[in-house]
Amino acid sequence: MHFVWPLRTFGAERTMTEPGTKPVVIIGAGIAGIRAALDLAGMGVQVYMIEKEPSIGGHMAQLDKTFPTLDCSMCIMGPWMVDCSRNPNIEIMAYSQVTAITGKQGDFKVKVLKRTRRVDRNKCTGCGDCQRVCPIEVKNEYDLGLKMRKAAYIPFPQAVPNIATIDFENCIECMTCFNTCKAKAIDFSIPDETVEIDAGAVILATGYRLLDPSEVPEYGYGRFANVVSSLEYERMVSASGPTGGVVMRPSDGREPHRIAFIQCVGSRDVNHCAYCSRICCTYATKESIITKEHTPEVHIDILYNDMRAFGKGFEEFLVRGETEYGLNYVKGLPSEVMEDPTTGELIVRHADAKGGTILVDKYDLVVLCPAMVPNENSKFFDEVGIKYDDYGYVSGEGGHTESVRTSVPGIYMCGTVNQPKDIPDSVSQASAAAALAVLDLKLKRHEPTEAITEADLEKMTGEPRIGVFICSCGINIAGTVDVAEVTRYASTLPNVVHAENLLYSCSSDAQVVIKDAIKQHNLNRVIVASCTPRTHEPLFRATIEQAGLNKYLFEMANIREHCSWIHQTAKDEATSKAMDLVRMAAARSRLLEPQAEAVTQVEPSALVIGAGVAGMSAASLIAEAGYKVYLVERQDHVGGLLSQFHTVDFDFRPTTQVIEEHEKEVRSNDNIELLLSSEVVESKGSIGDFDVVVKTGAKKREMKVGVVIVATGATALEEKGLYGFGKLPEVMTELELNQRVASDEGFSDGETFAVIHCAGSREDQTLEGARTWCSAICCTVALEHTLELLEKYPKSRVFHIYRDLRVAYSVEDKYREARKKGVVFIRFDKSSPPEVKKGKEKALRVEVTDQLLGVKLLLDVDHVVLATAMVPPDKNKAISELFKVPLNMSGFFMEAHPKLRPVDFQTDGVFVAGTATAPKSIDEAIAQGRGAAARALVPLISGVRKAEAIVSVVDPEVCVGCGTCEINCAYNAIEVMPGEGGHDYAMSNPVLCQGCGKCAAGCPSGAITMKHFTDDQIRAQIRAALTDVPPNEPRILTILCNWCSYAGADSAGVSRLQQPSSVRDIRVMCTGRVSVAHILEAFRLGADMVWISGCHFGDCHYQTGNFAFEPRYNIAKKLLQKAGLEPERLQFTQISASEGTIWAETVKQMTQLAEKLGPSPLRK
Amino acid sequence: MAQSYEVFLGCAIPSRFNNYESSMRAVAKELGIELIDFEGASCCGTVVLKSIDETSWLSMSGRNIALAESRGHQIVTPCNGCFGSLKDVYHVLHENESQRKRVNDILKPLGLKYTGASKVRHFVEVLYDVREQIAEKITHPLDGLKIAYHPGCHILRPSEVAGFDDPELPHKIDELLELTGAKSVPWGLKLRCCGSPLLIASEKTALQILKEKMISAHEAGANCVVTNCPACHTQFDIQALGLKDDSGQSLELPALFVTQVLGAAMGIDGTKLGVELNRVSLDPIRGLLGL
Amino acid sequence: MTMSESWGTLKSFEGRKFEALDKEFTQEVSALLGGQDLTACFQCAKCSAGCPVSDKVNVQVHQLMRMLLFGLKEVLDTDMVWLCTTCYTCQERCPQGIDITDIIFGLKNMAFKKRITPPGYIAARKSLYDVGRLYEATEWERDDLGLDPVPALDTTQTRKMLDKTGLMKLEEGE
Repeated sequence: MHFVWPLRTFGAERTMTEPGTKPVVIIGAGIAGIRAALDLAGMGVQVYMIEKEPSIGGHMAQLDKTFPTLDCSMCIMGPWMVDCSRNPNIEIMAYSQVTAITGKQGDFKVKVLKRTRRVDRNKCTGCGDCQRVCPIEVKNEYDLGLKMRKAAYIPFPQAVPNIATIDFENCIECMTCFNTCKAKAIDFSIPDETVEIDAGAVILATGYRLLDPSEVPEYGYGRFANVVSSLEYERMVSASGPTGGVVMRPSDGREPHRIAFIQCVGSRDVNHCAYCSRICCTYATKESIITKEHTPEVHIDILYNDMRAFGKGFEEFLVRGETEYGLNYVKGLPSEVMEDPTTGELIVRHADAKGGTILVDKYDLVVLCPAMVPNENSKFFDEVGIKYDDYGYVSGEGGHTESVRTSVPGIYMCGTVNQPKDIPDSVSQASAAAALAVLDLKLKRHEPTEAITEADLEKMTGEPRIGVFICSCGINIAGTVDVAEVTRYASTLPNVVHAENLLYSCSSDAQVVIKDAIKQHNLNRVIVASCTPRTHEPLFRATIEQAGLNKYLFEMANIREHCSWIHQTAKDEATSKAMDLVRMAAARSRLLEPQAEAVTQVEPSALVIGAGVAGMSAASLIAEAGYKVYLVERQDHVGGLLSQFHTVDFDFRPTTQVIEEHEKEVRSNDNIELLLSSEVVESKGSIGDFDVVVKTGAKKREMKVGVVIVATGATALEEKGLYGFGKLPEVMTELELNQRVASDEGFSDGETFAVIHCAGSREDQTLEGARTWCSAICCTVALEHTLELLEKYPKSRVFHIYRDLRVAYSVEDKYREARKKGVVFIRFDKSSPPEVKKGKEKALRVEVTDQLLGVKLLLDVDHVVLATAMVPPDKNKAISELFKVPLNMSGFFMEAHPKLRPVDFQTDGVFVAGTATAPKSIDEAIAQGRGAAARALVPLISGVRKAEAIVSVVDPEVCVGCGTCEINCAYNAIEVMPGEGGHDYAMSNPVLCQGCGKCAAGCPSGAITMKHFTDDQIRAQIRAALTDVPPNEPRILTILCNWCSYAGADSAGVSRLQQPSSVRDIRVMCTGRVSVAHILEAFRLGADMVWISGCHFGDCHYQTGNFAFEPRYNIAKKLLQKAGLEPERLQFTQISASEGTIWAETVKQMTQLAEKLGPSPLRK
Repeated sequence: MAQSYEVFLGCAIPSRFNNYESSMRAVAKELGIELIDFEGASCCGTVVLKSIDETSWLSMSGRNIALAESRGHQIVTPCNGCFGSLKDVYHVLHENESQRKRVNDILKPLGLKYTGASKVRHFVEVLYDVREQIAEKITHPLDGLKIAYHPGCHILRPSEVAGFDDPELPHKIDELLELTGAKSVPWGLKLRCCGSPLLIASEKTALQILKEKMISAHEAGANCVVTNCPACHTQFDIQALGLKDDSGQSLELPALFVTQVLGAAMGIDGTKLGVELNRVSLDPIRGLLGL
Repeated sequence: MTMSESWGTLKSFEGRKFEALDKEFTQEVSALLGGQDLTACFQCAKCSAGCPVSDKVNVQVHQLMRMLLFGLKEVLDTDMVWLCTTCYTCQERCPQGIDITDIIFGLKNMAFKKRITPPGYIAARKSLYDVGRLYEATEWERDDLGLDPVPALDTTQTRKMLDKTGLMKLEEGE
């Protein structure tokens, strides 16, 4: 259930015109479209998201984990999907298609065909009754047909919008679903609808698809059961997938012992897709690692041509795959896959090109990594006039430095519609598209923020008057739980003055009922006992707000996902559990307080550090949006590293042109103050108001800014002694070669060059201060420079001495061009790098052992060129301390999340762009600059920053100023202040606090209160959960983190995974909130077991909350032993949002354990 | 409808596999395919001459094509080697102007000229055209015959030259064979070379390759090997004689030509099909063949 | 002389060193029939993976290609040249669309000129020149089967032609 715009409807034809600002239409709701939508919505812009599938989410929603962090994909993406559905500025039009775009920049008309779901989206509650009764089974698209769905279906548990679709192609109109739907939502007569949207801008995010592997027939896909595609395999390893995360051979369900991944299936192949698909090498490694973590003894071969890794930390990820997980990377592509028909085994004959031997290997499973190809939209693009390249990807307008503007002004793009790319690049590009789009709109002022009303205060001081609404959810709850009985019971609870049963508490008429009840019974607390707060709390909060109550006075009891759906056969137990959950909710409700979100004004100005292309792009956009920008550059000119090169582009366009274009924008904008030869030397404050001091020469200058963007760039390594650099003559860097070719200095035609790759990159991690990273652009730059050299000096003989030639997408064509022009590529092994010596016939002699022939080649050359590493500037350290933003071990800045938040820092209000975080190409750097601008514009445009209301507050009287909280906080949100008489005390900054509650649980003196999740409230819930427990049944008190385990329990419910009814759960934001006291309290009150469950380590929504809890868990265990209780009675697990099956299994195991241990001796 | 072709026999068939020719002629007769004798044909040159000197090879095959052209006829050949060689040359002379000129200069004194008017086809290709007709003529179904069909390299590859069947998933001749009620079994090394071209350079290597092929055919449960090429057939019906695997198990399998299989199913008399000239004993499948 | 001495003498790369890679040789091979894309090779080794003899030779086809890129004339001494079965599998599947098999034919021509060839080919050449055919028809079989005699061939014609192409004096220095 999500908010939608009021739409004026004229029959099937509707027109939507918004007053004031025009909305933005985003075509495609994968991760890129979602990010763009959230950024725009954050700037107060209305967004229409058009998605052809029934749910938003795109490919990322199908992934199990993401590299290189191995985060659970759904855990990090799910919240964004839900945000889209909750955000009043976003309307999702799923199951719809854009049919036409007319008009011009700033004023488009977008025709959208809304295919009918034959379900009334405003009535459907997503209960799923229809799909359970539907008799027709068809292959489900989400699991690529590895699993079945019904003709009436919701594509997957986390689907957004969570409403059913009747697939009419397969529907037999038996009317069973129609008769079953209590909400009367199903209506076969609902027609397709065409709507027209007046849009201010359009963003293309139509994504990609994978090449059908059967188009490369020699690999047997479609002929041999055990040859699968990488996306099918991703579903197989996924806990939410058809096999529950157990990898099985399609032929016989056996677990494979030997698996081969085949790279470049259709990619880098002139018979199919000549380009490199960029992501396959890394995701194959990811899928292999996931497999190894599940079953370490599996043997995995990855058969490749060049191992390519383009993103931050990816190279290190591959190295880990090889060294830690024992993956075998075998150089050499197989020619064909054969099947042993009797065993279903696959026989793969392939060359180990490194060893020069032919291997015939048998595998249980072969995984093909097919080329990424664009979704077929060329006809539509032609109609709209959007230019695309020969491969069908949409090209940026104006050379390879542009990746966001399409050939049609006012239409922007992000993600893989542009070219194959990874999630972080898609996400920064999405923010960039949002920033460009917003400039085409007239922005409206932000709406005033609500504070606590007098009425709230009055009500709050009064005795709690609680109203409880028990939801039947059609028969979803009522079919199992005796709702009448629960309602009656609820009315008997202390402070409950009204209890009522509703058929569908989320339906719009039910909202009216609730509001009336609030007035009629003068309620000051409201409880709805229905489904999960993760999706429905915002709806009910809005309802009680409309009735004049503060939204924090609302509480939910989850008697569906956590009760009726998982105890379908145990009606009595379910009913009494529902009563318990309502009782717990009431106990908490009694203690709820109204909260106001701390609001800070945002200084309408930005500081951008570094005037490279990234910094300049960011500055121009923010300035164009009408905000003051201070652009601070250390050097006396703009352009950063780029200004040292002459060319980097395959059309040999001078970099000076690229830089000039940006400089012109910067200098021509009065909002930008460019401070050259300057440095930031001081900084105080946080988002909204930073006080910074900038030093130019001798004079210092103070300024106030609302946001900060760090774009300090990177530099090219120049290391004396590296392959004779600085010692032997004619050993130069790419920089020097580039300049000398440009200025015709010291070269004559017919000379011989040796270009050595990875000079100072991809170093062995065991070495002291090793540069372990791949510098990403050197291969491309080196190729470009070589081609340019050959243009000028066609008789030149050029050798490239490389390890893996790493060029992405269409640069592959340039690689081929170089080979065809006679450039010789010599591959060397990490263990035997080339040697550069003084020569006899010629200036230099290069000796290198070719990895493939195993022969030593002795090259007499005139020049040696080093493609040297990109390294972080030393200055980063100072910036990192000034703004409390972290650096990684390499000395590059560490973004908030390498996958989904590439241009954010953990610390809000400070953003990052370009090569400051890792080496990247110009177009990526520019996209990031723009992306950072978008993220910065969110607070700037809204003018205020609303902080979490769920924040920590310190009682200065009780605080001893030990600083434990300060050290533990991941957000720099709490620090110790000097107080009078040496009585220092901590103070938390509500603007920065994210509300995990780690500090409160960890405070030795109990001085910190975590609002809305206070100790009193949690204790009250514990007490309520453990009162009058039937002596004969075990009782497990469970505390769950909101983001992973609670969501995991939800998805178990959605999947109807039946469980024992022994668990009573309490939701907190993070396991970091759970203290030893909570645990002991539960045992004191007679809990047979206490079970804490949170995110997997590394997946914590608040970075380190679960790490913070672990030591407390160990302490509590020790105390239990002292108290004479079995330590097994306390459990701590990590279960992710997608691991519903694992949740259900664990509940069973916990219950068995509880029964084995017997009732707690402390039971009353 | 009757089509007419000049039939290019090559050297191997008249020398070693006259049973292929007679079964071809018998089947052609049944189907009303007119086969005109190819007057003045020399060897196509095949991969042997191409290996020695490409210009001589281009001239040799070029001459053969030009001969048919001079008589205004299309060319059909039952031999993969000739098919590959003639088609390859046709392709080169068609694509490469300087080579065309070069060869035509050489042919001039013989009063011949290549223009490309005479196309080259394989006999089984012609058979595939008339598969409906063949289906009607099946009188003695070959149920129980499990065929390891070996297409041979040069009828498929390079596909831009051969241009007959799907180079990775060939199916056309399998369809023909299955019209007879026989089963064309999938086998791992179906597309793998038979090794015959190496008989001239290294018989040892040729035999190693053959051994791998035969093992694969046995594993697939085939009870015969069927080819449409005398060179390949040399391997399966001559080199395979007495061939054993490492455990001493015989690797022989009855080896037939496509035309013999079709002929048998059409009820053509065994002597016409020349089955007594097949070296590896046909006894294991004689019953199935109704011979 | 025996086969092993005449061809395939390059048995291994063990400890081999090569100096001054010969650009001209690479260009010479690129000029052969099918050589146009030679240097596009990026060493994926898919050719060797599908090659029926790659597990039976001293030097595999992708290594042969590598030698050509490096301009190493020693390639003519590899057994791969004459043990290529001409099955065209490598060429059919090459991701860079290189006419590998055709290139090897060209190498055979080069080797033959240098007298690096299995003796069988020398005999074959003779019979092709003398009688215009590799094998003679087996007349008695044809009689039994009632097949007409194989149409006659006027070998003066073919000889005239092959004199022009110089088939019988290809060897360098003749």
